[in-house]
Amino acid sequence: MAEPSSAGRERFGVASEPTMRLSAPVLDLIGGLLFLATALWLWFGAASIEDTGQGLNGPAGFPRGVAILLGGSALMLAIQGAAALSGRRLERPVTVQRPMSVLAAIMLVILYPFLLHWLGYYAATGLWLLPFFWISGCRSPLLILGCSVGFLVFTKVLFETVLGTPLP
Amino acid sequence: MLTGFGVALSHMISWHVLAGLIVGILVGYLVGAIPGLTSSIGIALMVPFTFALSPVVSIVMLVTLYMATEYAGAIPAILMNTPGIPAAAVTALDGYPMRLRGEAGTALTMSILSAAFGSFVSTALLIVTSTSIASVALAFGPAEYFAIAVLGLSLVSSLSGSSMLKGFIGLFFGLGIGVIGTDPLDGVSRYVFTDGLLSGVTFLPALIGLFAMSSVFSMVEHAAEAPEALKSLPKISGQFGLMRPYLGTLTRSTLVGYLVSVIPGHGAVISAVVSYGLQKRLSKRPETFGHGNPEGLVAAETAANASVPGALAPMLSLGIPGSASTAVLIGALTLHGVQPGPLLFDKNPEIPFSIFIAMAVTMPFMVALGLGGARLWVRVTQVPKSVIAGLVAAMCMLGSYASQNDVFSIYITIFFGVIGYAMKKIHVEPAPIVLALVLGYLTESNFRRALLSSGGEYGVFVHPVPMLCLVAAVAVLVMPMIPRPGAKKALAVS
Repeated sequence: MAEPSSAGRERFGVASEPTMRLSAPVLDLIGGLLFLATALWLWFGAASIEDTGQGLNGPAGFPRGVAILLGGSALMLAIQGAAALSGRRLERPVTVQRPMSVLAAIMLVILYPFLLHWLGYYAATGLWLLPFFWISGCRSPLLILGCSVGFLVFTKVLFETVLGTPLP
Repeated sequence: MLTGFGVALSHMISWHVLAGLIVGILVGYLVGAIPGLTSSIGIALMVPFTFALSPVVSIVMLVTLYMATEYAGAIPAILMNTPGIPAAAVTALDGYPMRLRGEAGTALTMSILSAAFGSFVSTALLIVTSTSIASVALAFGPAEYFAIAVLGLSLVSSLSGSSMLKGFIGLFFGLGIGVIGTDPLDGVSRYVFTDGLLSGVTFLPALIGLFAMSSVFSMVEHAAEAPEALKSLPKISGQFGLMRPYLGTLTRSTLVGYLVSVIPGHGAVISAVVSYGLQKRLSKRPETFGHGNPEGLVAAETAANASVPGALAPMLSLGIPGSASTAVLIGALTLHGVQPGPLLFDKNPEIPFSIFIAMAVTMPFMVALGLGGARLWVRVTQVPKSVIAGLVAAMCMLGSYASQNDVFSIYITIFFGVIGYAMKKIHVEPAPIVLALVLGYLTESNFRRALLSSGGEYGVFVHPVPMLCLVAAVAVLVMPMIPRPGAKKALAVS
């Protein structure tokens, strides 16, 4: 699934990383099934909504309608994906350049609210920005430090001085 | 109407409004000049910073940001063949060849003057039409509003990207997310599995996630791509005489831009393409289009900028978005306690009339900045993606938190950021999801109110106005499926 590509060359100071290539029909199939699961969640979740005795015009009517529409479309997408797979049609693959960096960025983003909870805004954001800039591909320590400190000063001035809104 | 302008002026004569206007323009130029950042992303990132401001200052700032972004995308398009926003791709068709011929200064001057003309005249059209439409819409009931909301939802067809099916999936997914929280009529809880969702999925954090956070991951992915190198920076000047031979093109393109974008979902890109195609057909030298013909540049730039007031017309008068950016603007207004729609002109006349005044007043500032600052704005394109990604990510977190003063909203932003990025990979665009989040509540609540008032009779939707809107919704859905030979030819030139 992963292979070196031109995008993986050492360019613009960013470390080389193989590009991930994923089959478009497989992704359509997976996407269709995930949306179908969401539709089923909506449908079965509607059963637990308090019934006010209005039937279709009640609080569960609209979610059920949406579940049917989403489920139908998702099923079509999944079938399209499966048909493309079985027909072995040539489809342009979906590429993810620098996949490990993207995954690391997602992980860091998920970590942020926990850091915010433990350390407060300024310490958490300062600590979080340094590796985030690095993962994004920034390799100059001076630039990373300058941007991080500059952003914190900007938020301090804007929120606490101009807007009068304290940050956690 | 004069009373409305009077009320708006009384709210606008303050340094806060002027500061908001200038900040909006500056941020708009910055966002427009950076390829990958669109007006919707710019507005979504800016909204949290407007909470401490009055609704008038906020909307002035956001609307001027929208206008400036739509213009500024032309600067890197002309100088580097890198459109800052999608509509500027049409400007680049003739703008970039002009730059290669050594006429970059002329091209930039023409683009800002065309934008100013298109935007100014189109604003005048907006003032006349939106007040008229709103006064008619005042007589509407729940059935009419339901049909209008469906008309709004139907613009999914033009926001879907490459696949209509995937556009519908995005729309239905958004509608599904929209039902989480408290039911609009009976107050019953639906799908609330954590206390943070009691009031539903908060709009702004979801929006920041879908548009801005997802683009951060894309920037991380493409960080290795170096920006196009700058060769030489031209000097441009206010040579207004340059535009004299193009008065006909300017007028025609303004009308095309406004009329096309009034139809929900037909924003700047389609306006520019249609206007470019029409101008090519009418030109005495159609073979030079795509090779640096100033007519093409003027037609595209005028129409793209005339589309901004056009997209605001359905938003102000009916409460339905004309484009992805106006969907975000509706969300911003709602967060300030202002509901766009026909009642807006009665309840909050200072809002629409402030927008009209701001759009007219913004123009001289935009022209001055465009003529004087192009050399600066184009340098923005040289900022590495790695730096922009980090700063935008931090802005997303901060903006999301500030919108609710609650860490839970950051979880919502992260969820939608990751989902938005994954969906982009399978070509499910974020715009239909936002459309559903904006219009889902309006659709459900008015549908149920209409049925309640009619005693469950579905005949309430067969009255003339709901029928007209529902038929128009079908037309809006079907129209993008009909091939436009002119548009294809126009783009084929590139």
